[in-house]
Amino acid sequence: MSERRCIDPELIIPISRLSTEAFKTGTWGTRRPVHEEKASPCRVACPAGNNIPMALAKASLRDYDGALAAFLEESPLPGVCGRACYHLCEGECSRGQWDGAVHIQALERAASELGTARPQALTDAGKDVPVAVVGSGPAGLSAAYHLARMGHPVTLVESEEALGGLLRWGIPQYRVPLGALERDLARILSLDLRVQTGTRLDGALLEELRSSHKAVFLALGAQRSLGVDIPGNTLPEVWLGVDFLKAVRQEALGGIQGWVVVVGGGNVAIDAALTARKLGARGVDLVCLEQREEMPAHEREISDALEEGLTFHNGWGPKGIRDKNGKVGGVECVRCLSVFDGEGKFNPSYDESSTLDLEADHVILATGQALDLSALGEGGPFGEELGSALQVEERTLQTGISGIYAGGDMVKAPGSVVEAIGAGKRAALAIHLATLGKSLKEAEGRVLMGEGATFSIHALFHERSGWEPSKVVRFEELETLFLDDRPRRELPRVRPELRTGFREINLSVKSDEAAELAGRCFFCGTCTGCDRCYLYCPENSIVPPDAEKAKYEANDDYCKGCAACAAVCPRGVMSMGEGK
Amino acid sequence: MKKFLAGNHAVAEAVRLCRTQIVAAYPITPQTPIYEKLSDWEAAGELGGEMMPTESEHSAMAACLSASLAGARTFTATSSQGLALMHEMLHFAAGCRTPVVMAVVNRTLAGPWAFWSDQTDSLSQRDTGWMQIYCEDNQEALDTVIQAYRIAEKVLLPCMVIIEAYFISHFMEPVEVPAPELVDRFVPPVNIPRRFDLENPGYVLPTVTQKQFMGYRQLSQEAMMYALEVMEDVDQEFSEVFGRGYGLIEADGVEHADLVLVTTGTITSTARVALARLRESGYKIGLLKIRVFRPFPTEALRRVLDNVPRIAVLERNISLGREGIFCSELKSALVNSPGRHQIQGYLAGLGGSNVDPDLIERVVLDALGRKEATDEPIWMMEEE
Repeated sequence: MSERRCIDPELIIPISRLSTEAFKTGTWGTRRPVHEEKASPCRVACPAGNNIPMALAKASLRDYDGALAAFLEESPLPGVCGRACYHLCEGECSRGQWDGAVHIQALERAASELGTARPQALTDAGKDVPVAVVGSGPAGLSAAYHLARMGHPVTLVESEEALGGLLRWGIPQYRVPLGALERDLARILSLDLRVQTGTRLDGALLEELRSSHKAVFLALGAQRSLGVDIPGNTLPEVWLGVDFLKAVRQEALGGIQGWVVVVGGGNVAIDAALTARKLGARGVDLVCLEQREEMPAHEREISDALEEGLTFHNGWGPKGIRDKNGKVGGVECVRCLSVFDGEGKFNPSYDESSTLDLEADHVILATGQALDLSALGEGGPFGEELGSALQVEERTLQTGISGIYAGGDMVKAPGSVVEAIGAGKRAALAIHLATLGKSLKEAEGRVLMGEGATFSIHALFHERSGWEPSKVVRFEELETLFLDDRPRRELPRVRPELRTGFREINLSVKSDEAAELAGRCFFCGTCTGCDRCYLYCPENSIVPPDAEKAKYEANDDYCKGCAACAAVCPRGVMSMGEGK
Repeated sequence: MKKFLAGNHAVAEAVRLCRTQIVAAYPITPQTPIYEKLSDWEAAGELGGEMMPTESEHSAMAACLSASLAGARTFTATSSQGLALMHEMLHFAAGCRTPVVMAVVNRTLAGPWAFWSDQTDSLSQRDTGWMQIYCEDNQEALDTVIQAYRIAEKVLLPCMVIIEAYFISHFMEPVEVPAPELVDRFVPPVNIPRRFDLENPGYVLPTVTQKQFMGYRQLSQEAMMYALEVMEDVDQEFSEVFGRGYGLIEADGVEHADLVLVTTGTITSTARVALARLRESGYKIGLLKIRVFRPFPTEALRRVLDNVPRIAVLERNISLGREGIFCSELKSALVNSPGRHQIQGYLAGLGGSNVDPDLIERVVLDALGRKEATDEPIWMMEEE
């Protein structure tokens, strides 16, 4: 019966045994996808320019060496920043608009504790160009670190006997324990720096450094405590904020008895107050002009202080320190009506009729810091115009004198640790390019991120094809269908009643937990190789990376430009470009 | 061996006897007992084939036609809304020329929501390219499933075996369940085209040109017409082996009848009782049961009805805006008859309402007494 056409298996249905690859459907398309990695909001917000998505991608796979290596690409101080940074990154984290920002700071600390990576050289191009760095606070360390990674022989000059500057003397150990700082320093020193500690800068030394090095970076910090000009401020039990913290760290001050009044509303005031408490003060009162919500101190530090039983007196200004037989007897305050005037300038107004009298055996004035210009040294290249050292060019941080650069708190105080790290990195880049006769503008064109406030030094030497650092992937550009719900949770801290001595308050995050926390990252703008563009392509025309190429690429023969790949990319990496 | 079986279970017996390899289905009242019975057997290791639970009837049909393209003997069952949901895939199954066999248990289509017998669900699938056979009782249901595999696998078209909700699906009757050896002889191991070949990959149903499309439709139509021959041959052979046969249609007492009553499905059984009474009273009334609806047995019907003056069509379905669907089909089949017919349509039993012998007697007497037929159907209800 098979002669009947209507049941002949060969005739009754159409079957194509040919490959449909004969149809070049790509000719229909007018757009093509581009695999284009972009900057993440967290990274753009980080003054150090840390490659956070990359570090967290590694950490999520428990590759803490890789995570630490990613942090070390841009910053020498992950142990310090993982503790003392005010994590602007977390404020910009896209996950903050979903179910709470990723714990970036805690993960930087975890990487510094769990990883064993060492700093990597970027180039040896600077090997014949010696550079001196004066000051070993965050700005100086950062500059020395990056200069050394670019091959420069670096002389690091420090007035104290130990490195670290503010990190060593100004930050209490319950925030950054000495061990954490030492670990970061050990990594930096693995770069073979020439370190001269106990060497105080003066004019002659600056001239000498200038003649023996192609460039000098000054990072002297803001060491002079401003104090308050009120009666009684010279009594022996009156200390200045940073001087007090430094004395404690130098173990020149072992304990405190009686009542302490701290004047000031900033982070140094809080640190001094908590430190006094831990040294045995019976009670600590903190007086500041600002109302609670106006205080310049960071919220976390304020809440820590309150948790440990400090008393705040907001909205009061000190009028005098009571002299009780040649010793401090108390602090007399008047009501502060406003801190700033109509033009926004610091110009407090008071209601003298409203007073507050606080008993005190010690007073700590923590009301701001300034550059100690004498540290620049008289008779040096700046001559009588020491203040001109503070007038730096914004992009290069070069002072008015060619070859001398300056940055950190010295130029812009009060700044944060991470801002100082960023300044040191910027100076290092500017010095490197200037001394080798290269264009900063050209380099910036390749590595400035977002609107240009921050940049990647790593990318300058390790070009990543298809990286568009000026483009920032915002939350709105993420594909939320792929986002899971894993709300941010509080990380473990030592309970207030157990915060004895200078024990660190924040606890370490363990390996498993760190991987889990890192896995919450959306990896905005960073390709994680998730293959979604490849899997969802209806034309099967996205070709994944292989040994030959690092990116996902569209096969133009078959890509119709439908944009499914761009729509399903969870992190804004795949984009649609015009034209084929 | 005689067993006391509900129609659903009679269908399941036949599916197992035919050594069906893949059963992909989704439960729906009143079909579910077929699914359950087959599942029970599978769980007990007594099915022989494999059950494939699916998330919908649409997927069930997609699975069946794909398995069939791979060369497997397949079965599914559904009703009402499930059949409606399956609609798109019915066209694919027919277009792929896959001999899938499906039991359809006729049930009302919503709305309003109801569960009772009504043929409109399967008749709505008239133009999908499936063969349709309507069964009168539980025995015929079992026998027709066995025949359906033979027919479908010969002409390479899918086939629906249709039984009415409850009157067949759930009513129990003594049913002769044939010995497996006999069925094995009648339905040999499956041997249908295997379209999927890993060594020679292909793409079934690529886009075709206008002319090619029309050509494939023509081949399907030829296969449908050929199926009429095959159905008669298979039924003939079946009756020789099993002692029972059904034909494309069944005519009873039609010669010299003043009126022929045309029925389908379970109404036929009741009509046999009603007509026996009327014949005792001297009426010359013939009975014609339409068993095969697609392909439509035009030639067989004309052989019987060409010279019958009065015809009454009684049926459990309606094409809204027209009339009973069998009535329309019959009218069009007889339009080229040399003689003139007076064909009157009657609707009864919709939504599962009862069709008893008295109602059928009233239909017959009404049809006999009419001077002219109305173009619209007459609605008949059981007398309260």
